[in-house]
Parts: sequence; C-alpha cells; structure tokens
Amino acid sequence: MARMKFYCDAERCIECNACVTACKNEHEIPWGVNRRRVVTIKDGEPGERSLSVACMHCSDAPCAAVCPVDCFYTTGDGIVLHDKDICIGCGYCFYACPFGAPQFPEAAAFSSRGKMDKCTFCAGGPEEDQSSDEYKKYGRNRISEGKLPLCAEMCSTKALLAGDGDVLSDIYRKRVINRGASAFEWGVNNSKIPG
Amino acid sequence: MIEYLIKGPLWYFSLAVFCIGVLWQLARIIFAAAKTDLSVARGSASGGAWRNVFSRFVPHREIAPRIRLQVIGGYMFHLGLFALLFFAAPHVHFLENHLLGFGWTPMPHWAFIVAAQFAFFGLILLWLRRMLNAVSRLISTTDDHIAAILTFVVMLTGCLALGQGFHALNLLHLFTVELLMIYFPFSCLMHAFTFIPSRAFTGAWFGRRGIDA
Amino acid sequence: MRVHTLLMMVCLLLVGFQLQAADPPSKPPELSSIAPGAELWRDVRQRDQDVTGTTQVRSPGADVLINVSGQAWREYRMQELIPLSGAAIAIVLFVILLFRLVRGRIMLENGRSGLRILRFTTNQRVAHWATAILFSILGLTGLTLLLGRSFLIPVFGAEGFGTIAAGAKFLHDYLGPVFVFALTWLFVLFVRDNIPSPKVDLQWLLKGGGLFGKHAHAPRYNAGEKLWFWLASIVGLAVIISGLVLDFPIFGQTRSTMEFYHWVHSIAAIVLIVVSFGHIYMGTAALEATFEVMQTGYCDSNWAKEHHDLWYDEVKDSEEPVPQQQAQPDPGARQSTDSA
Repeated sequence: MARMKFYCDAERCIECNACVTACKNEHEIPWGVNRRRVVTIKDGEPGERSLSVACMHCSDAPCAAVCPVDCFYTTGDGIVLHDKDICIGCGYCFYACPFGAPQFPEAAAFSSRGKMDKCTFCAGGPEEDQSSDEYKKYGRNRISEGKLPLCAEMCSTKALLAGDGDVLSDIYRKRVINRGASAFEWGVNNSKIPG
Repeated sequence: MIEYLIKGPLWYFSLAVFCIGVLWQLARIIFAAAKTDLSVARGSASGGAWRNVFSRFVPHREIAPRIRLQVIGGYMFHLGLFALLFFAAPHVHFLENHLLGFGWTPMPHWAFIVAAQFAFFGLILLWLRRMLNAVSRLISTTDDHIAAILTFVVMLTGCLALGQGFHALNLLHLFTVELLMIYFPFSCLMHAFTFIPSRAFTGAWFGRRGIDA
Repeated sequence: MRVHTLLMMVCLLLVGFQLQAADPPSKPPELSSIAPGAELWRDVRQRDQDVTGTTQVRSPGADVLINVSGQAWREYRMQELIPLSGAAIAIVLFVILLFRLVRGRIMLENGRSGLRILRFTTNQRVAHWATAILFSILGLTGLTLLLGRSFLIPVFGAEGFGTIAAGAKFLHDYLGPVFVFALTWLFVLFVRDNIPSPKVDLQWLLKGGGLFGKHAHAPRYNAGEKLWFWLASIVGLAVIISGLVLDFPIFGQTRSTMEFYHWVHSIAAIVLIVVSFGHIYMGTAALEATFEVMQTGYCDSNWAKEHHDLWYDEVKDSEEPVPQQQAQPDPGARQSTDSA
C-alpha cells in the first residue's frame, strides 16, 4: 500500500507562495486559516532557504495521539484526516504538532477557536466523497478524483512533491545524485557557492 | 424524530402556552384588581405608583446590610440574564428568524459570555442563599425550587449549545427552554411580567393614602 | 553507460561519506554545496530550540519551522499525565475505601447534646457551596477531557463522546473565570481562622489528627482543615492563573507558553481533585454530625467538644438549645418544612 507523503526540496523552493494561494483557493479556506505556509530561513542572508510546510501526514501522528476525543484517523493511503463533527476545538493538536499544521478559524476569548482545520492532502474528510457537505467542511477531495494535492501539482519549480513516499524518495535520490555529480565535476570547494 | 418533535410541535405548543398563559394571567390580575377605591384621596395615586416602581430598585436602608448578598446576586443574575437573553448573537438570530422577522445588533461573543457568567454566578448565589438560610428555606415553595433549577438547567444547556455543529446540544437547550416556557405562566417566574405592575399597584394604593413608602 | 554508472556510485559514496563527516563537531563548510536541503533539515531537527524564519502567514508560531516542544508535551500528556492522574484518583479512592472499612463511620462519643453552636454564617456557607458547585463542574468536565477518551468513548461511541466532550469544554472554559470569584470570596471569608498556630497544629498532625485513635486538640479549624484551606488557596491560585492563560489565547501566546501553563494547570488541578476526595469524604460520610454543619451552619455542642475542643472553650457561652423543628435533620423532616 502506498503511503502518501509531501516532500519539499529546499534547493528548488523559490518562496513564491503559489502553493499557499492554490490551497486557499482550491478549498475556499477562510481568513486566518493557512493549511500550508512557506517559511524562509535566513531571509536575505547567505544560505537563505525556503520550505513549504503543511501537515506531513505522520505515521505516528502526535495530533492523533493527544486528541481528547480521538477525532483523527489514517486512511489506507497513510493520509491523516480528522472528523470535524467530533472535534471540539481544544487546540491540543496544535500544541503537539511539530509542523504547526492544525489551524483554527478563531482565536477569541474563552478559548473559542472553532473547529480545527488542516491540510487533508486534498482527500476531504469522513463525509461521502465529493459531497457538498464534505466540500464545506474539508474542501475539495482531489484524491477521490485520482488527482494529487493541488499545491504540489502546480508548483512551478517542482520543489513541492506529493505522492507515494517510495516514488518521492526515488525522485529525491536522483536529484541528490545529480547535484552530487555536478559538485564532483566542479569541485566541492567551489568558491562561487556561498556558505 | 426527536429533532422534529422539539423543533416543530413542541416548540409551537410551548410558544402558545407561554403567550396565552401570560396574557391570561395578566388579564386575571388586572381584572381582579379593578375595584373602585372609595376612600378619599390624600395624595396622588399615579405619583405614588411611579415613585414605587423606581424606589424599589434600591433596598430599604434599614434592611440593606442584611440582604446585601441577595441584592448583589439578584442584580448580577437579572442583568446578566437580560443581556444574554436579548443581546446574545444566537438569541438575536433566533428571534429574527423564528419570531420577529427583525433583529438588532448583538453583543460581541466575549461580552455575552461575561453576561452569562454574571447570570450564572448570581443564580448560584441566590439559590444557595435560599437553601442555606433557615428563614428563606422555610418560606420557599416547591415552585421556587423548580423555577430556580429549571432556569439553571436552561443556562447550563445554553452554555453547551454554543458549540457549532453539535446538534444534540442545541436541541437539548431548545428542549429545556420549551419546558421553561410551558412552566413559566403558572409559576413565580411570572414576576418577569408582574414586577412593574405590582410595584405600581402597591405604590398607587400607598400614594392615594398619602403613605410615603 | 558503464562509466556513467560508476560515476554515480562514486558520487553516492562521496555524498554518503560527506553526510557522515558532516556530523558535529567538525562540520566541513563544503557540505552545503552538495545537499544544502539535507543540511537545512538537519539543522531544523536539532531538537534543542525552534528554528524560526520569516513567512507571509500571520499567526502565532507560523514562523517556527519545527515546534520542538510539541514532542515533550505529547509525551508528558500521554505517558505521564493521563496514566498517573488516573492512578492517583484510583489510589485515593481505594485508600478512602480502606479507611472506611478499617475505621467505619466515626460516631460522636457522647451522642448528640441537644445544644448547638453557630459555626458558619450564611455567607460562609453560600461561598463554600458556590465554590463546591463550580469546583465539581470544573473537575468533572476537566476529567472528562483528560480521561474520557480512555473511559467514555467505549461507552458512548466517538460521536456521542464528541458531543459530551464539547459540552464539557464549553462549560469548563465559560465557568472557569467564575470560579475565580468564588474562590476569592471563600478565601476572604475563611482566612482569619485558618492562619496556622504552629504548636497546636503540629501536635494535631503528630497525633494523626485523631484519625486512628484519641481526638487531638484543635482550635476552630484543625491542621488538616488548614492544610486543605492553604492547599486550595495556593494551588487554586496556580490553577486559576494557568487556567486564565489557557482560556484567553488572544495575547499571542506561543505553543511553548501554552504547554507550560497546561502542565501547571493539569498537575495543580489533579492535586486539588485528589485531595478534595478526602475533604468530601471527611465532610460527608466519615463523621457523624459533620455534614449538617456546612448545611445548617450550626454544630452540635458535643461535636464541637470532640472535634474542636479549643474552639468550643471559646464559644461555649453561645450554646443554644436546638429548636424542635431541626432536632432531627433527616430528609423527611426537611421536606415537611419545605412544603409548609
């Protein structure tokens, strides 16, 4: 069985935020909620790198472990989804998640957060596939249409990859080898490369 | 099925009982009081009525220190309840969609919860005082206790009903409200409608006799 | 073709070698030229502090690439808090049961006297019960959120428990701030007689509070009651402050802040809940003629003599006969006065 994964190649990400925009548009995500975000390290300095981050659909997901109402489940493809009918908006998944993936529509007094929203790997939720209920709560279900997540599909530099983890690691391995090859050709101490 | 009952027939039934019951009770009181006072007027009845309506908002100076808890708890509860009954966003929307056809600006979420907290704490204080003070316990009737507990349960389920997407909790609140509305006209809860007329009546009676109270 | 494959293998070896060599302390600078992505992730995974960057997303913690405190919090909640708090509650209930079996219901040695003394004013009792009601609601809802996944989901199912837990969360979040007022009021009304008097209190504690033998001397409140009072006040303050931080996530609290206050809140609350079981048992079923004191405000003179002898000596002048109506405070008698 395939395990769906995201992979973001920091060598290719150009911080265009198109993945963020595509995600918001595809799923009609409200203000304040960002299922995906691009974080730039050392912005404007030598060694600047960007990564696009969303739910990484962990095998042993911390959010699912700490949820007081057990609203998370993992699909056969290894996608971590949650049931908004059960979610109580306590925010624990946000504390536990390493990637800051769980998002809440509000941050108001008396701990009013609303129901948690996060990246679904474009796989919707527990509702019937492609129903309007599912669309309202979780956004588009592209997986059921045989399509991969839109953020990765439309990434212009192919920095963001989504799909079967084995295939992704093959692709990445090849990229590393090619980069290694070029380094081998030019010499690893090439002074043009910063850092 | 239960949802249909609570949202449909029971809602209309309780609304009818509430409206007809309140009107009937008020009419009964007004006609019961409508006897001509044959005494010679020594003062203004309407002046006394107006004075009494407002003066009773403040406790009498002699007893004020002894009923401080009731006054504080009473104001916390009633003002909080009034604010959340008429200015909580879900209530405003409910009134607009199901009863009146128009709405008004609701309070912000946090303010309405603060109002609810005041109402909650006030009601707990008042009810405990009723239970724990020997005299008020003795003069309390079953009606008083039912009214207090019913109101408490309505407020409790109201808190629960604030979660979006939990239908059962919303229904529970609506159901307890319907029970309250059916109970309302036949209980001490009628004071919500009668407290001003009764103050005015007493004030007019006093005023006509020249009693300054 | 064969040359190409060989080249690739050499490259792989080279990369592998350099990745190995890249481990601290001697990090060769040339590594970044080969696989900076790998280096970036390795930096990010150096789990001692958050790696922050810049981002277009404006929400607390959005600039943190990896939240390093999350794993520690998860382990605390799942491996320590939930099992240990469940165990603590079970142990305390078991100890109370054991105490009950060993000691039975502790009766007044000389029976009722027919005389009574005012012990609590109406305000004190209202404050006590207001705090008690709110404490019970908050404790039950809190425990529902903490332990419900293990105990209640098998009973109610995931959807049913979701509804219950949602209700518990709202009650907890909305009534928490009210508890602040109740506890403050309780503190003000009760603090005067709870100031420790070291000599008497120490003696009381050395005698085990008379739990297993002769009564120990005690003033208005014995050392056990004083300990509970100060525990409730000080740990209660910790619960309140941490609870308010958690209840108002509007000041841009970071995740590690919330985790810290959750840690404080959960430990303090469990301590209070566990000790409150002892308080509830001592106040209700353990001792004859005790519950009615917080109920009516009056205690039997013999009760005062036995449990609070030093206080009894101070107030014995205010003894009064029990009015006929309340001589037997059993439920039947009370109902008849209610309907009167």
